Amino acid sequence: MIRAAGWILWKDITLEFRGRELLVPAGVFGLLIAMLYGFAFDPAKNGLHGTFPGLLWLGIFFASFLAVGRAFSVEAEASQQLLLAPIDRGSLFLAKLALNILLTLVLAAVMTPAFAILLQTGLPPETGTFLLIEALGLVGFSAAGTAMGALAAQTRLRELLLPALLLPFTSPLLLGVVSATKALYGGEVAAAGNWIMLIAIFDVIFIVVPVLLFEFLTEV
Amino acid sequence: MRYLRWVSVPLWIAALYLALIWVPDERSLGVSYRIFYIHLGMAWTALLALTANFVVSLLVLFMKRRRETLDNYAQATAEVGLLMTTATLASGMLWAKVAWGAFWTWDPRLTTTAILWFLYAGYLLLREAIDQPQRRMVYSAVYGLIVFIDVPIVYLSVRWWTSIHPVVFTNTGINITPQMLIAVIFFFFATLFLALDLIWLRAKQQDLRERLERMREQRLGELGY
Amino acid sequence: MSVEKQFLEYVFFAYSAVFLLIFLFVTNVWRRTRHLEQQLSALEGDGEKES
Repeated sequence: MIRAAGWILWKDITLEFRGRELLVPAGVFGLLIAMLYGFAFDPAKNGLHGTFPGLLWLGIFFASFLAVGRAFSVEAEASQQLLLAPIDRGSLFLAKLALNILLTLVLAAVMTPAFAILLQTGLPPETGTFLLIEALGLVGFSAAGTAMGALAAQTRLRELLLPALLLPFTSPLLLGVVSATKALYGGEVAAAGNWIMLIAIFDVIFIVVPVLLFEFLTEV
Repeated sequence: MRYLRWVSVPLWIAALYLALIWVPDERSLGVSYRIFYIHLGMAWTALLALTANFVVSLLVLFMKRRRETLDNYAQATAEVGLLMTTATLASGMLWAKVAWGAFWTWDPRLTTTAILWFLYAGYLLLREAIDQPQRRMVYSAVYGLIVFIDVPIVYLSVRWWTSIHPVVFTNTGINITPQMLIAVIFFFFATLFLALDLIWLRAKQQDLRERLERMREQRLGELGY
Repeated sequence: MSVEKQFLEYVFFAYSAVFLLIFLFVTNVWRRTRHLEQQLSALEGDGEKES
């Protein structure tokens, strides 16, 4: 199962390196969000420390949409040849999940410094904990995004449907990462710890449940 | 099921009489707290309908027979659940305006209900966007399961979030008297029977549609198309 | 007195809003069901004539 997942992941990474169809547009969009936030909220006049966590995470989530939504649409457009391969269905889900985690991590690695510089707030203290929050948050977003992306890819609307499915679904995750980041800025590490627990629970549940249910999706 | 309405209509009349006339006014909120009856009835029934949707979704995935009928009930429970959630939000916002002074507060239950609304609006959107019946059935069942698991997490996170948020409006609690409890119970059963009736009506309609489609295909086949 | 009246208004709004929602839902379902039934009976009538 893991081996098959590894091969599919390798295929997708190779495709991404050759075509750069996901990361470049999503990354440009992410940087553009930081610029536009700067214009809209004018950080030089009004300090953005209070709202920075919310702005950063909304930016990352929106940019990640572009990447996450494509993962299954690619297969749907290739007339589902991958589904004919004699592999466990769960491994297909895991491969797409791993791809989405990698893509969102790269996006966040580009966007976080850009946001911190352009919005003039700097990274939060306890940078190690902050990186943990980012990693866990993006794993959760990717898990939910992969599951919803698999559903949306087979509809008439494709990725257009994804925001309506994914955004309400990940609202606890957004609350979690924003509150945890805010707690770090406020120096309340214990409060951040509680939120990190919540994010971790979200991650575990929405990796395990879709893996179990994914079999059904490939039947029809 | 056909006789549901004969129970439902007297129940509604009784419940309305009890809630609007029989029960005395509340001390601090006066007559306005009577919104509470229809609000609570709708909220509980909405939750029950969405729980029923979860159960039906499970059955669709794991039962071998009669899945099409179950799928019709999945559609019906989600629609009625969403309808009643909308009713809960509408009556709740009006009551919040009276009791707390604003149409919207970031109260955990209010916020969770709003997210619930979006989640199940998504469910209906997903159904709408899939043309092939088999796929629609399985995909929406999977979505229904995942989303229902998400609801407790949403509630937990929103509660934590509001506890670190300054709460502007304090919840004016109502002490429930036995008289009020009777009215609450009547209203709950009235809305419950209404929901059952609506779900049945909607599922029957879906069934009719399927029969019509099958008949059309058969007819076209006979005519040699 | 005016507060009382305002409270009554809100009660009225809340109940009528809920009833309006239910009414719209029910009439919509009924209309579409009748439409379906008509089509179905037309189709069945057709078949009888032919056979």
